Amino acid sequence: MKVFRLIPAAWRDSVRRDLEEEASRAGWRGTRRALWISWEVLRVAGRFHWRAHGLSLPEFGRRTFLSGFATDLRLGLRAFRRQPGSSAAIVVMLALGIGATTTGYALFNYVLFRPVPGVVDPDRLVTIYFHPIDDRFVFGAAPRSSLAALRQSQAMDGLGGAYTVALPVALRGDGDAEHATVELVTDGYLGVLGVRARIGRLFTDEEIGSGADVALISERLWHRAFGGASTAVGQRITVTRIPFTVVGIVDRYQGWGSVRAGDVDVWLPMTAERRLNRVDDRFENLVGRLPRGGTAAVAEQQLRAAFTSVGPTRPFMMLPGARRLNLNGPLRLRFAPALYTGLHASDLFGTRNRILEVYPFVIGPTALLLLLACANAANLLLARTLRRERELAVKSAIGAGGWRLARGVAVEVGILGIAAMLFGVLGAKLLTGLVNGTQVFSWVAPIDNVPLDWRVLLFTAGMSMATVVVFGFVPILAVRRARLRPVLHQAGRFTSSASRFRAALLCVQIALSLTLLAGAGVLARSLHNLRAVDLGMNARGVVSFGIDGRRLGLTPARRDVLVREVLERLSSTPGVQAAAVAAPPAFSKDGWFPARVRPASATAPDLRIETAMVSGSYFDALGIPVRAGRTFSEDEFQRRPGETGGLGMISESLARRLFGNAPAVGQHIEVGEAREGEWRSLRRIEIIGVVGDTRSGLRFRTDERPALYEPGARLTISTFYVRSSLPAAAAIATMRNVVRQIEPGLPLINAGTLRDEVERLIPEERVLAQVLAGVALVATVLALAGIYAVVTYLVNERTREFGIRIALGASRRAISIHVLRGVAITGAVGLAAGLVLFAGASRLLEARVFGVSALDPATLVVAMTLLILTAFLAAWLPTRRAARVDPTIALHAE
Amino acid sequence: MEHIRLGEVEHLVLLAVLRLDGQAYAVPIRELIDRDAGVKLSRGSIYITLDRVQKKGLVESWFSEPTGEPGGKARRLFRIRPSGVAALKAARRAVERLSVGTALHKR
Repeated sequence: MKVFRLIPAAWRDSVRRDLEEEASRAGWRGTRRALWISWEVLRVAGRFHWRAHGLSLPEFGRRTFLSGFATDLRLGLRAFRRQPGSSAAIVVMLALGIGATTTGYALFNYVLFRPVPGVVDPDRLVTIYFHPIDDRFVFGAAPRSSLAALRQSQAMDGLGGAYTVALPVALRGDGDAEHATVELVTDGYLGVLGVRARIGRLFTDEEIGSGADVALISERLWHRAFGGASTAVGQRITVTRIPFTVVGIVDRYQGWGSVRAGDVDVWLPMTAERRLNRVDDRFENLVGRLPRGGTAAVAEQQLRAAFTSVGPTRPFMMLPGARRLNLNGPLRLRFAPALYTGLHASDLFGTRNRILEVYPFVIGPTALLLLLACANAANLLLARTLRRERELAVKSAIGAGGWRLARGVAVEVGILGIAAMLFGVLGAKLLTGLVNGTQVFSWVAPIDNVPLDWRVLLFTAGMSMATVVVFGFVPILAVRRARLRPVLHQAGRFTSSASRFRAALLCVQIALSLTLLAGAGVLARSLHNLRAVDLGMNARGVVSFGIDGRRLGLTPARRDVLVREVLERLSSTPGVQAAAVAAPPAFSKDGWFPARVRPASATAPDLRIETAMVSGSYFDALGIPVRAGRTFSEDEFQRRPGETGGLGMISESLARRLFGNAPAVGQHIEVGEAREGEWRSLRRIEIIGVVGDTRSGLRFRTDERPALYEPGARLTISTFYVRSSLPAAAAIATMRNVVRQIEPGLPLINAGTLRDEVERLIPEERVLAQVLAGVALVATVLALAGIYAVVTYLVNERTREFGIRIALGASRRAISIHVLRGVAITGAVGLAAGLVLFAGASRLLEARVFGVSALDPATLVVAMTLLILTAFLAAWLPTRRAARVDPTIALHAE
Repeated sequence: MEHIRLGEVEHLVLLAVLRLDGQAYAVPIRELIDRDAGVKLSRGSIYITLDRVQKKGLVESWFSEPTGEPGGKARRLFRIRPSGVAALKAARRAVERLSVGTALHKR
């Protein structure tokens, strides 16, 4: 046994012999014997060791408190038990901080690193996509024709393609349809991903080849619509009113890719396009599985070779911005590992960057909270450790060095840290459950089951370690420095250096609280400003919804009639004051259509504006004031585009920019484009009315919207606005009913109030403000508790001094002022530090806040006042107690 | 001759070594002190005390012949040296002189 080496050589053999003899006499064998001997050897070695290192120990008596780490551990646990209140407080504080940061990181981890659920061995998956030769813009798509060509090569274990589209899906008989994300897949696609059926089966190749009327549904839809019953397989569902039979429930997989990743609920064979009356010529995802042991580089070469041997394929596909994807030129295959939920594969919309932009606002405040918790916990631990000053002094007197004492505290810190970590993980589990279903970004599927995987746990462990260091540092240092104080001989206490530590910690707490509180305040004001902003219209009593006849496969003529019929029926519904239609919606996230206009009469520089198509009743329904002229008549609205003779209404700001103070009504403008500086007029419009400015969904923060309204609303999605005296829910039910009667199976899109429409523009602001407000609240409570605890302790510590002062004639008021002045000084230093810290942090906020400066003086004053008041309140209660004390009692306090 | 002053544990250990008369080693020493003096000492205390009194020259040690007993190795046996006996006597005398005139003193 190696442990024997710990014993001096002269004694090693005989100790061993003796212990073996005793073990034999006791009849111990095997493991028990070995364990006992090891343990005893350690103890004996310990005695030799300490004697050798000059620690004079009382030879007599029981094992003393200095017998090593085990004792430290025991003492640490005892401290935990003896002071359950402060121990619990420390653990809870740290756990709050650790739980919050863990949750913050778990969200980040979820969004960026979550493997696609239901996909097997994602490391061997690659997406293959092509991008325009002349462009930096990377478009994650591939033309249909490429699949057959790529399959000629044997480079891949499998290849398949798919694209997603939102379509009206009805799950039960005549039930209402809702839009669901449908993924249309080629043969082999699901197989390449390794997707399995949970119940039933996937598509067969024949079904995909023949375009059979079969469908798969997600587990989510299965639970929602069929309650998870196995009888779901074999049921009929309709997609755009065409019936399909459910043949299987897909195990976990919900699609992947850049758009609404993980939101797919229905799968159809790609050949079902014919039945759905759809035409498309691209894949969103073209995926291949590398052979086992194969590399992407080799596979890419082989694919390229196959592609050239096939010769020029179908030459082009259209891309946004009318760029052509030229497959005949130098070929661009792009490989990307299809590892994670859409963000690596083809980060089409800069998703990753937008998430990373928001991330500091989640992790920053939680990290500050953790720091605050550390300061608080350190303070508590320090206070309670120094309460044991006598014990420490005794230990010191019999020869325990400063580090030896500090080690005891370090062990205590470690125990508290581990407990805090465990509770922190538990807290994170709860918190991540709370955020389920939150939609932070409109373009990313709602949060669903954030996992606490090894990455998160590793982060938590690291964070906890850092926490232990940060929070334990000061108490350990203080104890180490405290040993020299001659505590034993006098009733006085070794306060000065410890007090300085505590005052410093208090400053840190106040500074951090101020930063969080002010940050939350500024964001809350910003959110309030965004909500209270003058929309340029009267949103009260207005509900809205959209319809998209194209997704149901309706012809343009039918869609025209549909819009007209719905509008007429809505207008004649009892309780409805006005009904209107518009395209795009008033607060479309991307704004309206961009256009350039200039006065027809002059060659003034053109202006960039937004245009929308509306019915004449739009301004009435939304409460937008008509400043001059008139709105579109029923007749003008009904005419087909091009027949209107070019009538338009413009917003005040556009009128001002185009014509200054001259009347705009009756003037003509040109809508056109500027190519290489050359103006080309597309259409000429006579202005018949001028209306008030409204906010734009694209640039919500500016109050001017140079806008042109034209009659009509026959684009893909028509949005209806209804002003009524009905409650919102009743109004929406009525709307639904109207649409159902006219076009059964046509889903309403985003049915809700106009306020909801605005609210959808600012989900990030809302979430950020909520996160920061929650964190700041917790932080303030922590700081309050910290201030109270510390002042209480400081005051109790000086009870004797106060007694003497009172006995010598100091007034109680003077005592109170004396104490509060100390708190005020500490508080002032803390607030000053907080201001500096917040000034730094406010740079991050600058770009996010609306209608308020990131360094808003009012918010800062309120936050500071709040902190000062709470600090004084927290200090005043114990001070009052101290000042009331009877001097004789105080002097006998020792 | 100036006698070496004995610590309390040293005192107990020396007496035990004397009592065990050539058969003294750590195990029976500890048992004897526990049984007759009612003092439980840790094994480590016995060893370091033996180490110390040997260095002070109060006892001497040697290794016995290996036995057939469990462990089989040689015991480290202790025997008191004259200076040890002297130290014990001196300690005893000191105690007796001090207790003269008290209830402790044997007449």
